[in-house]
Amino acid sequence: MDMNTIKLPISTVFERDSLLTFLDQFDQIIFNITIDVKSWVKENTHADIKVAVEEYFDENILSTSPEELFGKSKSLRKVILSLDTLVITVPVELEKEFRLKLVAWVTKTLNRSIILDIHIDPSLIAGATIESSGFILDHTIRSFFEKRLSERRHHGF
Amino acid sequence: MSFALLFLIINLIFFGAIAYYFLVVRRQLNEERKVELGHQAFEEEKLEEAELELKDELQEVRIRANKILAESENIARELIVELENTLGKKHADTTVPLPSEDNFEVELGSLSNKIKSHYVIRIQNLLKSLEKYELQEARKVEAFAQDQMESADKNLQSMRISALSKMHEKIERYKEEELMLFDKKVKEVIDQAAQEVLGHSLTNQDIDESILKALEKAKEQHKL
Repeated sequence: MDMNTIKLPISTVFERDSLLTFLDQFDQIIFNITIDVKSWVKENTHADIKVAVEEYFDENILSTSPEELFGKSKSLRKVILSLDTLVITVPVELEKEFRLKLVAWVTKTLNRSIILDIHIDPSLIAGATIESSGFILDHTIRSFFEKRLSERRHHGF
Repeated sequence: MSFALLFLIINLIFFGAIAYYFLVVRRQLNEERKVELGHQAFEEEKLEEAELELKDELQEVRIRANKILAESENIARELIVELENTLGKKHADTTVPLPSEDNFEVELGSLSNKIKSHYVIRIQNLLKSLEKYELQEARKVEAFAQDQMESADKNLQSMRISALSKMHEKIERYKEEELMLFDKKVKEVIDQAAQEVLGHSLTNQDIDESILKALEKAKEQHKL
């Protein structure tokens, strides 16, 4: 499996951090012969990252050597850390359903995995600000409003 | 005989000196008085000009405040038009004429009542406070002018010129600082009204659609 082209089934900063924490602990237990790795994975995988973990550490986990598992973990960490982050600031807390819709839209449109970092700012009223790779798009009612006021001031307000 | 002649000569010199005093010195004194009157008239003219200028300044403050109000109402209306266009809810009539100076109650379709309570009344209060300030300053100018007419004291006049100059500075500061503050307050009122009124008018679906639109816009600009 080519780790660089794979689409990770994680979509939020929380999921990314959760997966990284999981990998930190995983790296430490795989060399401990007294621990049943498969059971440990089952017990210590948070629901949000379950799909991602299952995809990389499948049924053959028991027959895989600790060195291979460590290498796999290292590659996965590399993929996670190389993912772009899209910061979206919205006026209200998003329903889980709509969050998934956003993830689906981003994945389909951009054809790659991306981490969504969602912030809430009620003063935006409606719309969203999008921040990615140093670019900021402010498509909100608040910015529209501020722009209009600024235009008026510019014309001798 | 020679003594009498000498006495006559001395008398002639004495009376000549008196005549010289009345002719030359009094003329000089009159000229000085004329200069002084001219100077006084010049100062009075200067004061009148300054008074007129103050009145103009107040008028300018009033015009600018009205402009801020008129523009802020345009902005509020545009804000709603934009929002309704975005959400595809163009049922409200937004082609209403601009409100008159005395009537800020703008009809804004289905949101009009909320706008009235959150926006119009508070803007009116701001305008009232501005009018109050303007009235106070106008009264001060009037009182000053009255005092000026009643007093001929030169020192007092120069003190009043200085007072007038201070009043001038105060209005200048008002124009810069108070109007800026007034402008800021108007913005805050609209901001808050927009947030309260429009924010509550939006459904979750409206909000979701506006977020997706923002993402689509970012994609269109090839920034994702």
